[in-house]
Amino acid sequence: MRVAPPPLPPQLTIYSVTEAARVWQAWLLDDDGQEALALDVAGLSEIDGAGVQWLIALSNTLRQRGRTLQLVAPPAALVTVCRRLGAGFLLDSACSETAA
Amino acid sequence: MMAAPFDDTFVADLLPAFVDEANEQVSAFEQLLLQLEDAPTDHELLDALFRCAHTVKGSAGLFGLDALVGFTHHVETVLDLLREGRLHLSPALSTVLLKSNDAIRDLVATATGHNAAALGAGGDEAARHRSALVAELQAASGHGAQAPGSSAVPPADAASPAVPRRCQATVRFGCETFRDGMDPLSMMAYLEHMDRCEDVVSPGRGDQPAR
Repeated sequence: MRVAPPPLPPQLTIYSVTEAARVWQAWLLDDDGQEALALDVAGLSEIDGAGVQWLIALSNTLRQRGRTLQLVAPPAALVTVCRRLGAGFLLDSACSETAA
Repeated sequence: MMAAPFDDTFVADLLPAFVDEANEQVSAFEQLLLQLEDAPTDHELLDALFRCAHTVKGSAGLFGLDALVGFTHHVETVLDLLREGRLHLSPALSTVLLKSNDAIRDLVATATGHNAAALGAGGDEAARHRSALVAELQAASGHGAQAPGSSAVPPADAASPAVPRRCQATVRFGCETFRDGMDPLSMMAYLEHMDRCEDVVSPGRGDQPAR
């Protein structure tokens, strides 16, 4: 039985990202999905550089498995932060979905 | 709140800490240079010397201390060549570096004022002295006109350009960045505050080249 991906904490910052990474790493060990992973980030209320770094790492991990990470419903501030750090590619699928 | 916007109170609150830290780095720089007189090829000492200048430059950039950033960049360039073994620390070069360190100390001292926008110049005579030191540093590094990579950093005491310039800056954050309490996000926000940022490309994406 497939286990749903863990939820994101509302604050993805240096104070919480280590725990989030640990939880997700454990989930990824057992996950054998092939499709794009849609991650609802609408509830994200705070993120810093460490949080974006982890999202990039998660995206790269999935890419290595032939999957893509799709951030669903990113708040405007998350969009700003990602673009500011040159991580706009994390939003590509979200933006194209929004545009479509 | 998602990410704190640049706030002028940032300067007022943290400037004293910057000055204290920068003075510590300047003192350490001097001590290291003295140690290097007896061991001019000691890698650990050369690395530590580079880190002193690098730390001062990096922190000064956060406070918009352009003259300090510009001048220290030239020092850092020479130190980088030294630690890579592409330049030898001669007594003459050591003297230039000591003088440069004194100039950095003077620039840091100007930061003790409360008007951040006016920081850094320290008078025409001091500026001329720094320009002479920059020439010596560039001569030592074999770059008489311009130090390598300096296009991304304003030259010492650069005046406002007559025409708009487009620059490309490459920033490499160390693996200890977060552990040291820094966040690249804050630095990028500050850069945006300084000028218009046309494009930012991160090497984070596995299939994307860094630039």
